[in-house]
Amino acid sequence: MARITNLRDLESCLDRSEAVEVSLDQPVSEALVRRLGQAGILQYFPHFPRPYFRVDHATDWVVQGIVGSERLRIQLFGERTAEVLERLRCLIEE
Amino acid sequence: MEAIYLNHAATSFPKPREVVEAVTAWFDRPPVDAARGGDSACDPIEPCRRELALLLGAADPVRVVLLPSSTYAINLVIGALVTRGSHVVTSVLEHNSVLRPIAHRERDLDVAVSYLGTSPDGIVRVDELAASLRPETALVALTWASNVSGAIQPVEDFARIAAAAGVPLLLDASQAAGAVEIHHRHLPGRVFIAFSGHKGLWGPPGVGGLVVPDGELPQTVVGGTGVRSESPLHPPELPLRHEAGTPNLPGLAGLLAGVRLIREVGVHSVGAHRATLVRRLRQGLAALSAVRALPLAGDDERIGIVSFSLRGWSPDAVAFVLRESFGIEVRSGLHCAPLAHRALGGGPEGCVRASVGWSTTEDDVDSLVGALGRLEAR
Repeated sequence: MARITNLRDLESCLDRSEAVEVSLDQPVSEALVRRLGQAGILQYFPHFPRPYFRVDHATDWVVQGIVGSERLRIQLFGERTAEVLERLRCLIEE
Repeated sequence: MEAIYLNHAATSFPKPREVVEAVTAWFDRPPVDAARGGDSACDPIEPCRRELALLLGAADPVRVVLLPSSTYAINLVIGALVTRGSHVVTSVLEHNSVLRPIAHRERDLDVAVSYLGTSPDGIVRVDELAASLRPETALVALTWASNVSGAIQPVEDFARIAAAAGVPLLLDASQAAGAVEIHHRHLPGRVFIAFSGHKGLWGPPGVGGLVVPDGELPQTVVGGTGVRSESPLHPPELPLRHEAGTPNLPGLAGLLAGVRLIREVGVHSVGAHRATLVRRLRQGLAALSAVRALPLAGDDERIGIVSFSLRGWSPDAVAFVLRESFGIEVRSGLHCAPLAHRALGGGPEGCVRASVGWSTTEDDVDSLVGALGRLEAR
């Protein structure tokens, strides 16, 4: 089970969303990718030099990352970003 | 995985060994008197000014004002010349370093603004310039080369038209300095050239400057100079006229090394290398059916920038996956030039910008094209 150890706000050039970099206490696993994928539309590219994935939630967020990396990039949409981020934390750490 | 850096339009990397050594060496010695005019052998200020004057074709080194950035230089000119109730002409290709200072004066000082459009290949509409000038036009502020498309602009035409109307011209050479031949003294009229030190001049961040046509620009930033301390007023003569505060000496030491190196290599050689890479990149992208490059002028009429989108991928996702999975650094988004994206047909999320530099190799370009091919194939 991965734990979030740090959140860092990222500059969004477009100012249309909030972007956050999430640090984890262990590398992203395929299991985590699949779990996140159940909450949205998963695109997974295991054949890339470092396996890339992206999950698009219907309305609230996009998560991108690399399997084996200890970081995720999350874009948050809408007004309730703190609440959405907390739900994502539960999903990541469950 | 060794990283491939294709974001030279943001800042050049790696800095040449000579630049790194010059900055490091500055810290290894006791600082010389920060007052300008000291001619110690290890004072980088005046040698840097002289080298820049030669590179940028300034009539006299004193016309090269050393500042923290091109943004600072642009603000200096706009802040001094664009006064309440006046009119300014700019274009839709500009970076926020030009657009925002103008927008603030539009909001705060009732300044009127005219935005010149572009042709389909990203060249500012020169024919619109003459028509846009008014009796109260205080400044024409235009880019030398777009940071989105890379298209080199007809600056001689800009200067000719502005000069004929007696209106000062500010050229934003943030992307152009070091990348194209610049001859300030040959441009007609009252021309200001703002330049960045850390992009095409290979210096460290935190250095830039302004080439001025005369010593008439009103002073807006004044303070300590290290000379004539008994005077209540800032010295009026160039270049001190616009240089207040302790200069970025290690940065200028690095910039001096960078400019010397460019002069040794030659701007022409830099341009030829860039054109080869841009041609190769454009040919590679043209073979990918999902790639749409911004419609632009020929390879030799642009600096080392190619911007594009990839069908099925957001620009942000392309940049992320290129960096994180393929180890290729590019830049996505609006590139601080929102109007340019709109004018050139970019989407609301902007586009992906690949920019090459002196250190870029053909293998680097091929790696990018290969990676995009894999994204296209999904």
